[in-house]
Amino acid sequence: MLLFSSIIIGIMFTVAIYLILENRLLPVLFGFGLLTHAANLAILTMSKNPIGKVAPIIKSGVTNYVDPLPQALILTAIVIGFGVTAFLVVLIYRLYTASGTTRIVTLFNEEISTK
Amino acid sequence: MIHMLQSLIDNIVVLPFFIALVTGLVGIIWRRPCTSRRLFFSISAAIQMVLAWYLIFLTHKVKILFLPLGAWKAPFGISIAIDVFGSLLIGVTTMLSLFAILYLFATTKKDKENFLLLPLIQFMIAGIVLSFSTGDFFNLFVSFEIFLIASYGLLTLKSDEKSIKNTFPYLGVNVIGGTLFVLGASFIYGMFGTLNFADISAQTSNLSQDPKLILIASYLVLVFGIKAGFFPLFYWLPRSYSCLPPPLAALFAGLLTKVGIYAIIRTLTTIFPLGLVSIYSAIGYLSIFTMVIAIIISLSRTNIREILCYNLISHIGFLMASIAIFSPISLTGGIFYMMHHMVVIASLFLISGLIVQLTKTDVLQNAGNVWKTHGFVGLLFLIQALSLAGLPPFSGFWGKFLILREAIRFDQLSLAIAIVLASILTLLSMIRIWFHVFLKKNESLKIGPSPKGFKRSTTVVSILVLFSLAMGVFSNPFINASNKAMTGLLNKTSYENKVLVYEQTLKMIPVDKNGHSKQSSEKKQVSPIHSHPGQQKTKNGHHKNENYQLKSIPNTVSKKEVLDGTSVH
Amino acid sequence: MINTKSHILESVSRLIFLFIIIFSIYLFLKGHNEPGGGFIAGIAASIPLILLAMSLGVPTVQRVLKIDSLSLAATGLILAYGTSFIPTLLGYPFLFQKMIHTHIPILGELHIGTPVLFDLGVFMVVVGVSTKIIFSFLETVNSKEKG
Repeated sequence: MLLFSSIIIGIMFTVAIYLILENRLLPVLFGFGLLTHAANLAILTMSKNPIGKVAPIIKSGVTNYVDPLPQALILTAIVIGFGVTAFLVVLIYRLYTASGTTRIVTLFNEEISTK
Repeated sequence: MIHMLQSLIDNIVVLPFFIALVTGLVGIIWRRPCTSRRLFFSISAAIQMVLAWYLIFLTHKVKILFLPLGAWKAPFGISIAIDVFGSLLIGVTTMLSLFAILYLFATTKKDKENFLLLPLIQFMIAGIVLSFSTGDFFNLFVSFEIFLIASYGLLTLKSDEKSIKNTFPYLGVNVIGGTLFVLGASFIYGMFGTLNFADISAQTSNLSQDPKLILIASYLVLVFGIKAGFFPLFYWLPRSYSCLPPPLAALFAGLLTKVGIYAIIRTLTTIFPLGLVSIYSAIGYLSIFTMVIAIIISLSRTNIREILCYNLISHIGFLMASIAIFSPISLTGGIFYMMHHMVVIASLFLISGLIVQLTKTDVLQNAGNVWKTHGFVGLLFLIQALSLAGLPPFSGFWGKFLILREAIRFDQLSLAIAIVLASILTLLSMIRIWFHVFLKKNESLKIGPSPKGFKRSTTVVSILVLFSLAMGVFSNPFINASNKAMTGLLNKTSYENKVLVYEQTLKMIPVDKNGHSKQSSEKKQVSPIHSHPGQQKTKNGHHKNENYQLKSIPNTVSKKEVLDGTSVH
Repeated sequence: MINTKSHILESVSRLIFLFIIIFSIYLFLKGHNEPGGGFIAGIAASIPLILLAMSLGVPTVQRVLKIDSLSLAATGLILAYGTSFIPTLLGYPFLFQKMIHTHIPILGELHIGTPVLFDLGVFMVVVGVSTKIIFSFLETVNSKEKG
């Protein structure tokens, strides 16, 4: 289980970095989203193997709960990631309306040449 | 009434953070810019400053102020712990925020002020203060994100194309940095089963040779290095900082990078065992590159604010050098230098704002004549520039002197040479600004009468300069305070004892009217954060600490695993 | 795209508005010891508002709501922080929570406490922020299509 999720985390990081290095801003946005989710999954993995364990809601007579702390941490991280992603979307949209393109090379080349 | 006050004083560690946050929130509801709103914000900033200075006074008496949030005992709940180091930085932070706000009021018109500007500044201050006072890793991450998100907002407040473009690298780097931080937190949790500084410190006390620990520590140094602007990771900084208006640039430059350095110092002293020699030497090499390369780049720039930005990065290198030497005296010097640098670089950015007000440009070639018409600004600049370069009567000297002395004493000659070289080049870059802006005669530039608000903003800056001057001339109390901060950092056991064995001044046992104590019947189990109440009646409801024996399994297990060296995740 | 009026969307979003709001209140009250609580309830409550804004237009919904989303979020945060600040005046640490368990004759057991107020604050924050984000998107998209 740990091996499986670590492979998934690795794939997610790879894909995210590939997307971030793309030339257009939209894949970059998705890359950032995927990056935060990969990190969240890494935290989830730290709560160890969940097979045979119960969700952390207290019931009488049950003792083997999943470690609840990583889930609490992930909730925080997800909310923060959500906020940043929303902000990024607005920024990209704003850039797109201002200059009509989301290609990074065109967007940032102009600035260098005008300097 | 006295009861309430006593209780409030026991909770004082949350107050600066809390007041900043609530002030910002009130500012969001109360939108119409007017004089009373500005008065409200400046009074709030002043109250925060007074509180923070009271915190310094308190920490000098009791060393560490600790508060378990929500009455959850240390390794389980979120803990807020302020030691002398944290309180000093909080003091400087709140002071800078007050002066930046006053400068802002002096230079911008009321009706042109965006209603989000002041709340965002307050949120940023709240995040920074929280990161100086937090006692566990995840809360550190959250506070980092609070001030980062506020800073994204401040950077794009103008919402024109240029500022958005300049924000993008900053945003990207910080999103990646935040992700790496979360990943680091997950590694730490996997290894130690806890995120509490004191708990990690207690578990790692004799693991200084463990390769996994060294790996995690160096990973965290990398993460915080992105925030601090280390040598290979600083390209985003000047680009975004130099497009900000002067008071905001002063706040950003004075505070944001220092939070990264603070986190590194905290990680390497309080949290992880002392004696991670390989990490210190790595930081040493990085600091040499940071100091020298950034200052050389600053010599090639022609824009005042960009020059200041590269100077800022270069002086981050000095702080890193003090960490790299890692002797008590060098750390004292580093802490002193950190406070000095926060004040000096912030006031230099404010002075650059004054220059722009006068000459309407911040490009060196187009400026000039200022010394003749406004000699006082020149004097302010001169004091701060010499202080930045580290000449004797000024505040920069003492920190540099201590760091340099330790570098020579421990035979770190390359570090010593880099420190001297970077100081000389700093002086050179300051002389460049001095010559071009103040001394040079520029026929095409006419400096008219002082613009509106110039007098008030100059007054604000000169108070800040006076403070920095006092730090240099009467350096003894400041050095003593830094020394005390250093002893607090290196005395790990007192921190652990304070946090993990909390002497109760506040009521800790939640007991309700019917005498149910919130006590879980399943001790030693992984329990949800909120235990179900009333499962077991106690006779008097005063079983101290019973409630907090919910020691979670990962904590005990992984501690054992780590000690055996078998923990693999 | 969005400002072309769709009757199906409009009537469906009017129809399910009440159901989702009731469900969100259910989620809100169920929270703390079971899945639910302010955050999820806030997300659930903002969905019908967003649907209405899509079908009727943002200005209409804002007129109906009467309070600006950002102010709502700020009020919620002040409420949440206020409830966590009160214990500091009574000799407890910041963020301290107190639960009351009483037996109400006909209705049964009642577990209620200060976390409810905190959750209410969170609820308001989430509704405010999520509607603010979506509303500003809708407004920019609509204004761009018109102009």
